[in-house]
Amino acid sequence: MYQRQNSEAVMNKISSYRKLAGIANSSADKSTGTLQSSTPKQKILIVDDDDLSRKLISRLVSKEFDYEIVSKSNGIEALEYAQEHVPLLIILDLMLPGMNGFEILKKVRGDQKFEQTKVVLVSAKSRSEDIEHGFDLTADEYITKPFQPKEFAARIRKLLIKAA
Amino acid sequence: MLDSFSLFNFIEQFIIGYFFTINTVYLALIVGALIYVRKQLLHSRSVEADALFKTELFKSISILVPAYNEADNIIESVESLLKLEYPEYQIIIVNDGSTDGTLQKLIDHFNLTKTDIYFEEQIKHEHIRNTYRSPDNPFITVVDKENGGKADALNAGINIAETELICSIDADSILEQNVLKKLIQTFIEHKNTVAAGGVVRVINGCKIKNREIKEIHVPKNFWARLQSVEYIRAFLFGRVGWDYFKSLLIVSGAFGIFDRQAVIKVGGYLTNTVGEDIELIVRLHSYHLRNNEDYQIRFLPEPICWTEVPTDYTSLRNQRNRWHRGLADSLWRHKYMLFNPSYKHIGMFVMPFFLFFELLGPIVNLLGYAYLIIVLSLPNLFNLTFILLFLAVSFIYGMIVSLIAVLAEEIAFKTYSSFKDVAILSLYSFLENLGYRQIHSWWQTKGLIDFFKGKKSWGKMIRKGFNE
Amino acid sequence: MFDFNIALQSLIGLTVFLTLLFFFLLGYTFWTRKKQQYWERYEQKFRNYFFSLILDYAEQSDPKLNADEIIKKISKRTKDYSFFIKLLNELDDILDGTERERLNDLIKHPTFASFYQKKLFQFSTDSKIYACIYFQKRAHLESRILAKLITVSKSKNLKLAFAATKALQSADDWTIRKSALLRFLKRKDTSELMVAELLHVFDSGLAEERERVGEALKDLLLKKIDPYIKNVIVRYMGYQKFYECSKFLYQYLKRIHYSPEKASFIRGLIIALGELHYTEASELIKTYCGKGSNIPIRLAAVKTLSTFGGKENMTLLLDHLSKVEFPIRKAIIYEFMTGDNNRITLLISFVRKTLQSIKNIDKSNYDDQLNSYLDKILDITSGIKIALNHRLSKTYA
Repeated sequence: MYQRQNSEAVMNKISSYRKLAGIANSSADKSTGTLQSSTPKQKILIVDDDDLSRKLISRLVSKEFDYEIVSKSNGIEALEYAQEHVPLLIILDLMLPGMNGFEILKKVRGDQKFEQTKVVLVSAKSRSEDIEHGFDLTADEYITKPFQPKEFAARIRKLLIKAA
Repeated sequence: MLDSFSLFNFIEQFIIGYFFTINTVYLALIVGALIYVRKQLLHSRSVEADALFKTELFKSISILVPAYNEADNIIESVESLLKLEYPEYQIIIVNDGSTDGTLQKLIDHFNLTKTDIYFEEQIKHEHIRNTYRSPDNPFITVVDKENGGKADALNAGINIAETELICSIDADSILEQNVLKKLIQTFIEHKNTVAAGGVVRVINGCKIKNREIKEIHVPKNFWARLQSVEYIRAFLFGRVGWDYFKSLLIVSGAFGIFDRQAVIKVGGYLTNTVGEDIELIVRLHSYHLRNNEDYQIRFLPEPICWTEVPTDYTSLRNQRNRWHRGLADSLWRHKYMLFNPSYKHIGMFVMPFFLFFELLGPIVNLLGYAYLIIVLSLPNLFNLTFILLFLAVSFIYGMIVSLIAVLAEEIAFKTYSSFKDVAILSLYSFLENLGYRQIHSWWQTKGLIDFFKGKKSWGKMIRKGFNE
Repeated sequence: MFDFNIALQSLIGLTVFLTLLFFFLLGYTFWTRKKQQYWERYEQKFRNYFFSLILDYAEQSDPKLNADEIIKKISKRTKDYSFFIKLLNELDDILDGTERERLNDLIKHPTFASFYQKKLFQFSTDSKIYACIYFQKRAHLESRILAKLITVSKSKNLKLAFAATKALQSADDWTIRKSALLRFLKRKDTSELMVAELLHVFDSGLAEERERVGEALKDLLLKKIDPYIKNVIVRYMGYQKFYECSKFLYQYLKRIHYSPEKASFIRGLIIALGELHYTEASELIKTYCGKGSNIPIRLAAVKTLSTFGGKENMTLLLDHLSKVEFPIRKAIIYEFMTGDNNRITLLISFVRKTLQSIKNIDKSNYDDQLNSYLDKILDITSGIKIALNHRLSKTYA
């Protein structure tokens, strides 16, 4: 037990270093626009089975923020991608083929690697139990469809500032 | 000499007449069904509800999953059930005394804890050892009971369910994500619906990646291909046709939604039959017609459920043998409805049709083929006219019916992903009439014989599981 | 008997037909698939192109776009119109706020209005249904369209009538909306779920219309409508908290006489009064609690009395506990698990009292009646145990 805690502490330290490095990276991105290819941009992963929602969200996000945006429609594929690339932010629909949003969130929260990854749940459902369940599983934000684009962007911005 | 001549003449007329009638009826069903399906598909948007789900006044559903030795599949199945589109539904998994660790898998995966449930045994069933729920997921209940068969497991689930509707499925059925939202349309469209089924399709051959059906193809296996044609002809358009006349007698055990109170009122599933799905529907008809209560049993002509069909000779034979025993048993139990005007069109028309064409049909088929062989082999009975006519009304006409079914599916649904699939299906609709139907008739006849001998067992089916 | 020539001819005829059918099927499939692929690709391109245009318009980022300019870019093909409307409707489901209003401006554009108006006047049911679905999203309908929708809403085709009635709810004229609703509810083939859907569309949810909606719902209850439909109406009133109607519902319940057809309606009234917290009704509802009325009604009475709460109501429920059938027993026990701890205290004192009375029973007088009584007590205690466990696990979770 003691050892486990110890290793967790080490991990925390490492990740906070990483965090610092991350900030350095992104600021470097902005100052030296042409150098972008050498320092890979942080990623935002959008997971939604509906083509239009995916396109809409990625349009909203890409307009405001300078990150690499990747979108997936299948839950399992999304998780596989996330595990490989560790995005900064995951925008997650609840109803997905393969694996639902809650399940992905649970997996992400159970994995040290995603410590700085922020997760936003997006869903057509607005039942309070779902929102509760989402926050129980420590989603950083819960947005219900339909949404106002400006509000959506504002909430994402808040999260990204927190993450930085 | 004249007597025997006229006897043979009579037999020949009977055989020709029989084959002609049955194929014509099927053809009419398919063509009628096609017109009806197109209309239904075009109009279905008008009963797509959205406001309804913003109120609390929609119907909640419990999905009942009977599981007997399903350790290989069960987690996959339940996980996919958790992703259905519907605002409120429960999943009740009934472990029917499995011996392969099905229960343990469920406990481990969903982090279940023993939780007592306060319920009343309104329908009898085998002893329940324990009930489980998960603190993480309030929508799942697992019931662990002594083995008692599928019907018995479903009965236990019906008792425990607290929702207005129940949905019975096979543990290995793969459901479309919007199945509940689709099927509730039948309840929106028809008042007093007590049962509803939908199109069951063959999953063999489909490409599944990451628990999602990516491409739909015809199966690679010979037997499964034959069944694909059969599923389109009989289970898709056949049932839509019956539905058109409000005469649906079968809702597949692989997927069906029922009004819970209606099922409890008629006493739940019957446990000592192999055809519990047909039997329940017949009993629902019987009960409501007898008591003069308004009711509807409907079929939604949209593909909603996928099932793995047997791919080896023995499994298929056993399955069909069992289905036929089930049909025989259901008709036998409710024989009082036959030609009884108080059971309206069901008693006067549908039940007799099922008796003479579906149940006894295979025997007549076999007799027809036997007679053909006799005529061909005995020179003094040789009758070219009969042979030609027989070929025409049984083989060629049968092929036309199957082919039109494939065409109708293509017009209405365009399910398959490529042109090649349809071409293969068309070829198999010839093969279906050359050999398969004959063997099928034999299996069914054997089933009928077994029924009279009192055989009740299910027969074994080798399942392969979905993870390929 | 059979004529050889006829036999031969029919065999040949059928075989030829079969062959033709086979090739027709292949050809047809091949052709329709090609066509389908073409249209899919076309639609994809269409959507990609208009997606950003529409969103630019909705967001009004510069350069400022004009609705007419966008619509001018659509060719006059019917397919294009339906693709465009489909895309708009899908976006409409995702977006909210000012962006959504702008989308609706596009949807309501006169070009589409006249396009669907033409469809509404066509003979085919399909076209009419599509038109109705379109007009469901519109406002300020013209009188010519309204008149046609009213005719269509009287159709024998249930789905068509349903779609038209829903469309009529976007009429400006309140009386048109109300009479369309009434007309549909008077049908004999209306399902309960259709009623719920229609009521939700009828009730715009706007504060200024609320009183009017309440009055209209009351009015519907006085009309000659089947009780199973009235049940949905009162359930809706309860669920949407039409407090101002509670007295009316109470008076209604007072005057209604039980009959099997009205059972669901009576149950609905009791549930609604509970949701509206109309405690004056508790004396009346108590009379529905005891044996004699049907089980769903009694379940509703238990629920409502528990919602009202208060020592008197709760004691009454406790008194019933050892006498009633299983479903009601279960409901009562679970009602005691909701709310504050006082209820649990009451329940525990009940259990103590019952235990005491069992101790005092003359054991020599053991008979079947006593046996079944003890069984019932055993069942109640196990019910209480299970329900308490559920409550505990819920508070911990």
